[in-house]
Amino acid sequence: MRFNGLVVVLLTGGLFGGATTASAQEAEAQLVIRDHQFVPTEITVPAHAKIKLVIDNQDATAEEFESYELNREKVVAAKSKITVYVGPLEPGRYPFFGDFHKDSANGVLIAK
Amino acid sequence: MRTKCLSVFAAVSLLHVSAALAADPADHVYLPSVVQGEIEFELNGGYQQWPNNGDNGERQLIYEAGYGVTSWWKSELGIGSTRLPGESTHLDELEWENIFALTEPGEYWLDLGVFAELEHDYGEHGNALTIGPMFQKEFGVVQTNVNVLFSRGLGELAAQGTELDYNWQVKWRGNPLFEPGIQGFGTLGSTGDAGHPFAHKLGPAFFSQTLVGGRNKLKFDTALLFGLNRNSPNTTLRFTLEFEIY
Repeated sequence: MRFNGLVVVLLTGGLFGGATTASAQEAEAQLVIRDHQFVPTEITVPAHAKIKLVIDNQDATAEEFESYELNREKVVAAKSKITVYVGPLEPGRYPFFGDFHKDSANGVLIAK
Repeated sequence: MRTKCLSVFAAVSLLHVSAALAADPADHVYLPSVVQGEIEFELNGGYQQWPNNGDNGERQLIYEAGYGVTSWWKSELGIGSTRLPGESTHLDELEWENIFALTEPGEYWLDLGVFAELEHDYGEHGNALTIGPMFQKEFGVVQTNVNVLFSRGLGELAAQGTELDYNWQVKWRGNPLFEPGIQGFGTLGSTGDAGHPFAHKLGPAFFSQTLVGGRNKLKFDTALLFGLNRNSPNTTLRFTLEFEIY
């Protein structure tokens, strides 16, 4: 069940260095694509924090992570990982879907 | 990121430039984002009315086709036609546009990209290069974009100097079918012409996008721009219609 659960790791600021704000809080969440579905289908993350979302596509075909609400759209090649950064988010529900398998690949990111 | 920067700077160093470009009615705001493998067909159009030209304004249409070559590089080829006041419509330009996304959206405080365009102008029988940074910043559901563009002509016959232009927009991302916003375009003059007039125009805009079957997406945006000084067109109506296929 390594990838079934949500892993949220709160990190303190200064992760990026350079021009980024050193005091910004960041959370990390992991999402798996398996059998053209997101696992888990719901992710809860802290509101008002930047979210580093690591998406691991375990399928043999590509998928596209897309969310109008999160303003993100990125292709995940087969058997590979990508990182998507979102937020800081206001409390609420932010749906996302897999553009290549819309019927099965759906999920929601919940900020609270 | 280092590889991306090196690629961009290498491309720039190969292209030495000269000659200023005038602001075009079909200008639009460029975004520092790329979707790998995506094919785009785009139509950019504009009509602008200058003082003392009656109904005989300038019209421009640019057809473009593009492809997301990598996760950080998109390339587009375009062809444009223009109708100047008192003239008939003619083939105006061939262009090769490139978008380099240097940062992952949201990773840093500011998203950064580089725009680079090589253009052949049929009217002036010359080539020109436009290059500059693209910035994007999200504040919740508000997205802001700024382009700073440096343009120079290529070749011995090209006008001297580098022209500095800017494009910007602010939009409210609440409903994909109707996102209200503001756009602005302008030029801050040329290094080769101290008397080169500034021009500024801005006005309301709206943006819209919808899924149209399969993985395809249709996007549209338009703006009605008003000149802010005597060197600017009184009014400009511009639009972009974009069809994305993956």
